Amino acid sequence: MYRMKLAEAEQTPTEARRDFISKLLGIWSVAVAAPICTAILKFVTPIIPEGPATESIDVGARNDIVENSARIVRFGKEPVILVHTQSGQYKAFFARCTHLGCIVQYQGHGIPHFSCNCHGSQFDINGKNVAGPAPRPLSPLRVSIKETAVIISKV
Amino acid sequence: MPNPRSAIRFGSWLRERLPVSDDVFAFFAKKSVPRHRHSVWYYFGGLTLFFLMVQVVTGVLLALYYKPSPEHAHQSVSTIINDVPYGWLIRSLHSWGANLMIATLFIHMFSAFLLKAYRKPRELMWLSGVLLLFLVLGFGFTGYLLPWDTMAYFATLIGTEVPKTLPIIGDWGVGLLKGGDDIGAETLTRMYTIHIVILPLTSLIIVSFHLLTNQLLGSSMPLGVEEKRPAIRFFPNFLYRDLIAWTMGFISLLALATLIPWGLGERADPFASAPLGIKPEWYFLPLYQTLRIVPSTVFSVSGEFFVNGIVGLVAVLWAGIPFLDRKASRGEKSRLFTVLGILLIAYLAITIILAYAT
Amino acid sequence: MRHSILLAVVLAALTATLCMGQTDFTRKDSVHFVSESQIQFPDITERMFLLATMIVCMGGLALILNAKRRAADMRTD
Repeated sequence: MYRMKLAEAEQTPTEARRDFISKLLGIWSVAVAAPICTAILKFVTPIIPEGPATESIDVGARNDIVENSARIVRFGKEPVILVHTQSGQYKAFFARCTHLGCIVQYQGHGIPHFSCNCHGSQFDINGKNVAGPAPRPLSPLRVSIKETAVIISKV
Repeated sequence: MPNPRSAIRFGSWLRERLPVSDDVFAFFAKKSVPRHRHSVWYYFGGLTLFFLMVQVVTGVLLALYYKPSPEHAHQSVSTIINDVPYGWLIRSLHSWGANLMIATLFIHMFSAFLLKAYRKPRELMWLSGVLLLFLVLGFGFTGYLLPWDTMAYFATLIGTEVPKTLPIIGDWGVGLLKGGDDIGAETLTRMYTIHIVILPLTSLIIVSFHLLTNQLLGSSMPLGVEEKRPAIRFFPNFLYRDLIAWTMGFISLLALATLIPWGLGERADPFASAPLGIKPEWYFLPLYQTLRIVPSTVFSVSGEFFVNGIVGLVAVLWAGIPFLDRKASRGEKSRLFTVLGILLIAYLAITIILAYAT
Repeated sequence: MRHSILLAVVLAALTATLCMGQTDFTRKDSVHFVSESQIQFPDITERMFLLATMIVCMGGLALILNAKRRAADMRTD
């Protein structure tokens, strides 16, 4: 480091000028590249459109879902699993497994529960994570019956 | 400035793992460019290459958003212009860049022709150059359809009708391009694939060959010009000059793209009438204007067939110039070919002007 | 003196980068549709500003490259 500084001090004016111009070229190139790269980065970053948040959906006639079965319905952009339990209740949960986002399925045989095929997570009928790598329960939604229609809404 | 010691250490680290012999470096280092009153023309090949690189970069960026189907193509281009940050600029750079690249390519080609750079031993350089001309025109033709607006659609419709009159391969060849009978979804997919895969890969190979011949043979000295001053070393002297030319070219491109941004017509409707004043881009206008002038029947064959024949003949002769111009190959002045070249340039210029004026 | 110039360039680059990151050239103050296809471009003043900035950047680069060229020519001539 000391030897370098000494060498710099011993430079002729011409060499010093050459050195400066080289440094200037390097820094100017980076200086020009930086805003250009920023513009390109802005270009490639996807625009995620903000749609209106869905508050509730009308799924249709309650007779459409047989007991001890489930259906995946669209809640805005998210999938929701609507279950008609053996005991006649309706339950709804956001259907994405809390592990890595695969859509779960309803298992009506034995003790009814939800399972995820991707990594083997299992959730009980109340959505609680009981087996596998899922870290959190499924998020529940409120289900209400208006006349014969099933309405799912946010909690 | 990086610390020279660490630069040297990194250099020797690389050399141990990539044992490139010193001869290779010497091979690249010895390149020089002749210095004479026509030296300015030497810049146009590199400038064409620069614009090609701009096309590749802007093209890749556009491909992140473009959707090649008749239902979505126009909307995707509209989204790029309206919603994507700097989308309007990237798109304009790409459209204007295509035009500038073709313009510099023509200047490069005609200056090489008039300076007789095609003569022995540079015949292969000329042939690969002519091939690149066709590849680049292919880029222009396939790219033009992609926005799927009225102009694009009808230009492609007309453009694909013309080669039909070619004997034997005409109908089949056009079917190959269109992917069917009409300009539709199949056409768009094919044109897109040709534009972003087939032509780029082919061009990469041919451009590399073209540059290799230039490296091996150097730039040609025009006949009858004496080299009074010593040649310019390529590294780093001419390279700095090249880079300055590229910077000027880039400023020109930016000026065009920002001050006259490229627009987008209405979405194509295949069942609408062809719009008034429908024309191809300027680089196809000579062909278009020639077709307009030639009567519908010439020597008992159709006008299109006749024009196809003439154009095909001219293309073959143009490619074969190094073998036809015997005088130049012997190092003698060949006025005849100079005059023919100037006549061709004049014809192209006049037809372009006429096409715009009438 | 020379270090001051280099430092000034670095600071200008940082400022330019931040501006580029914050500026939204797709913001349209006046609704001006270019054609029936409903496309819009940024205001002409924004575009002129962008062009002027790029001319300064690229023009400066050309000047420095020219200085390098002269230095290289002096060495070999």
